[in-house]
Amino acid sequence: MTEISAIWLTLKLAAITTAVLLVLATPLAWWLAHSSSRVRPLIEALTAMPLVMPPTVLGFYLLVFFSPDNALGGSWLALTGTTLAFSFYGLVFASLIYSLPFMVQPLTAAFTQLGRGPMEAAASLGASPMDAWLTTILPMARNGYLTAGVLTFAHTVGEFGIVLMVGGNLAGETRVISIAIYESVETLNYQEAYILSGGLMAFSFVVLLGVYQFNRQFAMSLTPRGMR
Amino acid sequence: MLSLDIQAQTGDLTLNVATSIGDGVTALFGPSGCGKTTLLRAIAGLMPSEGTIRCNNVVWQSTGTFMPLHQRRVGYVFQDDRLFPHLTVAGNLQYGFRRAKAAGLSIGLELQEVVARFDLEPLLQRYPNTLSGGESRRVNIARSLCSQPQLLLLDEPLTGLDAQRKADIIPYLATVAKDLSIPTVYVSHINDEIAQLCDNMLVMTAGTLIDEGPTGEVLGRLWRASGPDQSYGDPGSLLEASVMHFDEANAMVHLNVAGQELQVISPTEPQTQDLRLFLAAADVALSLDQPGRMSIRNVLTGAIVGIRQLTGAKIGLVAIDIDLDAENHGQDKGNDHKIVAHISAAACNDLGLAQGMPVYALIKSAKLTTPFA
Repeated sequence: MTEISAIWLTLKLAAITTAVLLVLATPLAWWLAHSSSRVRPLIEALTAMPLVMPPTVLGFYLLVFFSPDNALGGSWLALTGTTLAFSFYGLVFASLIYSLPFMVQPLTAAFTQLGRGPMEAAASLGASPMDAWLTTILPMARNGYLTAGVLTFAHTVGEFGIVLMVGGNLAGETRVISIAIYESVETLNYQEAYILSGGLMAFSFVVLLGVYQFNRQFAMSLTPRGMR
Repeated sequence: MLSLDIQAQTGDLTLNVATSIGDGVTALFGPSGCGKTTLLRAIAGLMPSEGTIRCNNVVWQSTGTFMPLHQRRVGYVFQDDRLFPHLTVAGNLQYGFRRAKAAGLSIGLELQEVVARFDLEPLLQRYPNTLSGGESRRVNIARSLCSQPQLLLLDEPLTGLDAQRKADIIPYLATVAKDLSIPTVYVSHINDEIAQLCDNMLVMTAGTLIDEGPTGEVLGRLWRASGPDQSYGDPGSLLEASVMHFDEANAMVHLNVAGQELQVISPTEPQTQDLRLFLAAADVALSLDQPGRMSIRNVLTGAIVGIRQLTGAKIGLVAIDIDLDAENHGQDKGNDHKIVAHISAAACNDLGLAQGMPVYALIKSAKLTTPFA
């Protein structure tokens, strides 16, 4: 069953991308929310670039970087003995960049909204900066984290153009759902296209419904979590 | 004891403050925008400043050293509500308490004691977004104490509360301030709060201190200097008084003020021996002869030490400064047994009042400002 392998590959790609971005985007978003540095607008613009650039452009440049003649592709080849282009890890690299704004922007918004107040209050109560961050900002921004995580996951699941450029269509390696749908339509296999498209649509709807429902509950009352 | 000598620049405000703040409550008073909050933030280390800050012989900052806020042990009640919304009231209180305990720091304040003192038992399991404004201020103040601070910074902690709520909270603050001998800086621009709570007072204008000293003296100077518009509120005098006895049948406290007796109505017996008394200048009338039969029960004797013409909204009035210590014979000895009366200029002329004259001051009403009165 090619569909099953495509679905599994898609979920794996989205999960890894989301997990890595959660870690990488947090310090970046915190810096963007609180820095008064003059280079902030520059970094902000760079972070938002994947939102407006055609995936093909991004894919093209990534292919260039993945080439063993370049530093990234070359060192990956030396390290693992495989090329990045047309491989699963190439897709992960591409997704990290392509989905970056979907993680960074909700987090930056959440951190900006919280401001410095909680950190200052925690410091006045004797908490070191890392302690203060983990015990105040992280739980207070869980809304932002949920939104960012879900958007990143769902956006990665829906990738097409960039996957086609850097990943191609290798079953079990780079053949994700959107590629499988494209191929089904090309080969006039409408039944498979219906199943995969319908599944993807239902998945997106359920996920978004869940997020909005959670956000509403979170905003209305902070549910007790056994604090005492 | 907190000693500071700091300079800082923020926007168009230049902060330049050198002073020491002892145990007890010190009011930081001044018009809005004069840098009160900036000074607190600099003391806490939240706003970079040049110079030295020392608290109980620990150097918090000086050239080349800077201790961040979480090491300074400052209880800071911010002007806005900063309770952690994801923790219950109990969780908020424990936040600082546990960290102080883990670090082996204590000023002997147990969590239970703070809870009892601020009457927080019924609120412990509640989340901050379910608290009323007054409850939330109480928790904010209590939380700042739980971290066993060496210094308390209260930035308009009663802001936004109505008079009733304030009257509920001020007793808490007053007892805490009295019992904990840690320096406390209390930012306020409200005369009443300062008179009720603060032993000493700093007056700030445009980033610098223009006056400091015991509250009664500083308020007196401020009121005398505040000019025709009386911008600093209802002028009057603040006196230290001690309780002689309480007449329960008549709900009357008998007080000793500068060796003279004064009676003030009080529904309950005062809890402390020393009280502060506010006499509004408009409620003091003067007589050259010993007054006869009348309803006013308080007649103090003294001598005139100053006569000032008032202008603006108070045109037609003069302020008469009277020293209650008879043996000073009208010489201004700079003590705080002075009261001020506002009488009409016409009356002043007809009576021929002049410096050094002995007078009888008739006190129509006096207000005990210490909260437990």
